[in-house]
Amino acid sequence: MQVVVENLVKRFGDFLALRNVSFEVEEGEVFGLIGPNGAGKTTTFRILAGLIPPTAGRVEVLGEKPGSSKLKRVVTYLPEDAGTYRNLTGYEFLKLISELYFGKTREADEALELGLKLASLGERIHEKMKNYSKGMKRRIQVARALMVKPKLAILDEPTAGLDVIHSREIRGIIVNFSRDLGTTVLISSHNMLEVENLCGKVAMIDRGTIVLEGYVKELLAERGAKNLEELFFMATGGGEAS
Amino acid sequence: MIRALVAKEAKDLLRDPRILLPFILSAVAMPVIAIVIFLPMQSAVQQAVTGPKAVAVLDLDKTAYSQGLLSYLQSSGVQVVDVSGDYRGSIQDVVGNASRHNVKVLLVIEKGFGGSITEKRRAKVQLVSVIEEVTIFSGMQVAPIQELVNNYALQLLIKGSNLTLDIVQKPLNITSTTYLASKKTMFPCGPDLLMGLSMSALLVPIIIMGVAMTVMQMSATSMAVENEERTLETLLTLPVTNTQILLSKLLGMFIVSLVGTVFEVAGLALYFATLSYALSLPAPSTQGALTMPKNLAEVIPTSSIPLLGVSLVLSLFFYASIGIIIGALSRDVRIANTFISPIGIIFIMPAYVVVFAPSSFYGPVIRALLYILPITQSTIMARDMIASQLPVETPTYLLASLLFSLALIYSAGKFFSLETLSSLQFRFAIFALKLKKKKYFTILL
Repeated sequence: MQVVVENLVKRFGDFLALRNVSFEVEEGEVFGLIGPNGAGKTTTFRILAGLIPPTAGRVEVLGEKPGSSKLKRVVTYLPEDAGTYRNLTGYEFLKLISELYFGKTREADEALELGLKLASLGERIHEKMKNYSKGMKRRIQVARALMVKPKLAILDEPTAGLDVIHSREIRGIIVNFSRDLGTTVLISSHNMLEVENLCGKVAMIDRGTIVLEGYVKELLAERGAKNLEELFFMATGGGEAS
Repeated sequence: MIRALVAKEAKDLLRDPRILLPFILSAVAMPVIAIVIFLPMQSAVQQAVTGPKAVAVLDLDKTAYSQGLLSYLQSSGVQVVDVSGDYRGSIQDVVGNASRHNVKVLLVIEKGFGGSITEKRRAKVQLVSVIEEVTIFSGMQVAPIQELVNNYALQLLIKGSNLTLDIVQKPLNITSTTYLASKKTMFPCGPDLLMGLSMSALLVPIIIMGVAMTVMQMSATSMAVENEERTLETLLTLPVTNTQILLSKLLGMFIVSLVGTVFEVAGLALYFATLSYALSLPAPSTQGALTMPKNLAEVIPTSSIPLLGVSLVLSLFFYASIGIIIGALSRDVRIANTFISPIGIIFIMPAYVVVFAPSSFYGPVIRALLYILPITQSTIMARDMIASQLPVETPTYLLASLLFSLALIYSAGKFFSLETLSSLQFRFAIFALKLKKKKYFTILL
């Protein structure tokens, strides 16, 4: 198992953000954590990325506690609203990432080359990122998260705020990348259709609780739902996020 | 690895015009400020020294001596306007008429002037200066008139004796010297004229204050931007430690602040060069001028200068650390800016206490502490190296100061987690909000 989450609890003061969340992700899987805004997706991912500690429960990423220096080299995290450095060019940013992971080695050059390919920004890669559109910024961020060939990529709402064309492009990058390199990918989204297209396995989260977990095809067949959206409403009784 | 992060910081900052612009503007503004001070100063000094001298005279004595004074003034090149005819019992009326003649000094020769001179007593005159507004240069034109009136009276008083005017004006050849015990150096002037030295000691805090505030502002902004633009979250998941992140930010900021300091120091140099030029103009009196010893090397041992340089660098390092911590605790640039000025003032204030308090004010322990704390170190060093001498432990103090700053960064790195920051940022934001509300409330009151 690449990711094991067992009875995960996260509390912020009096607010209980996650209540006994459990799920597992296998190697090479594209796993989707879906739910409405405020359901606890970002909190779960932040814990998996080692950014915040859990209040209780067991969390293991590649057999280790999240946030270790070893994991930082093989796990990448793309925050939902990750910004870019306004005065750096896309090229400089990707070069920085490659050097941070691999120093000034051949591997770094390869990572940079892959990053440039994934970003596919042409000559505009040499422009300052403050001039980039939202879609271009997101492409750079996705390229950044994948170019170092991580064992696990945690992508929080990778297509958030993007139009249909850009969303489709980003989805294409993720699917191809996972298929070609066997990278395990964790994706969160409130767009159920997107997850249905991308992920083999999903967990549905609502108000900090996992309401359903399993393989998309099996879940749809078992419950007789047409799609994940219908399945979600069936599982939550049409509940809304808090 | 940290090199790549430092380069990223420096590039990101140096390409942002908002970062370097304040330094460039202040460098340009300083000589302009000096010119603004210099122009009225030059005009006032030149008017007093070389300008036409005129005096309105109200002669209430009407004796040969008072008339003699008028002739003496005229023969000395002063234009004399007799306004005695305007006198109706009030000097104020006469002053009004005198100012209409564009004469800025009224000399009132009191009744009994001649009698007093004859009896070798102190005679009475009144000098009234007419000024449009109160400025530091107003009334300078009265000095030469006063000198002439004094000389006239002295000449009359010594008449018939063997005394000369020069002897009466300066009866003794006093050589005033000062021995600065801490430096075992003799200065060829009185301690009052060594004021220039303490002014030099003030220079360093002025430079530090200007640079420190800007460096703090820049570092806080740079760090707060990471929060605002949501780049910090990504940064924290990269294969670098939190301390490396803070240190690279600090070093990047440091490079930028060194560039900024060059502008700042250039601006200050131009400011003082402009003012020095103004002060070099001929003045009616040399008393009270800022006198510097001719050989500065006698006062400031050259071996001390590198130590002061190291201290200045350490101070910048420390102020950048404070800015970064404030920035990290701020959810956005606005909150960082709300806090940077009051916190900056708190950090700079002790340096000024050091400048104005004599060494005897604090004991050896406090003195050692002032030498270690980066906020006071450069100031006390600058003061002591000019006005007295540096302690032999100075290199140890510098090392302790560096360790102090590094410990600060290391401790900050320890609590530098997303959760701690989010929680502290929330409290910081609430406090900033309360502070703002209170401010508005005070304004409304």
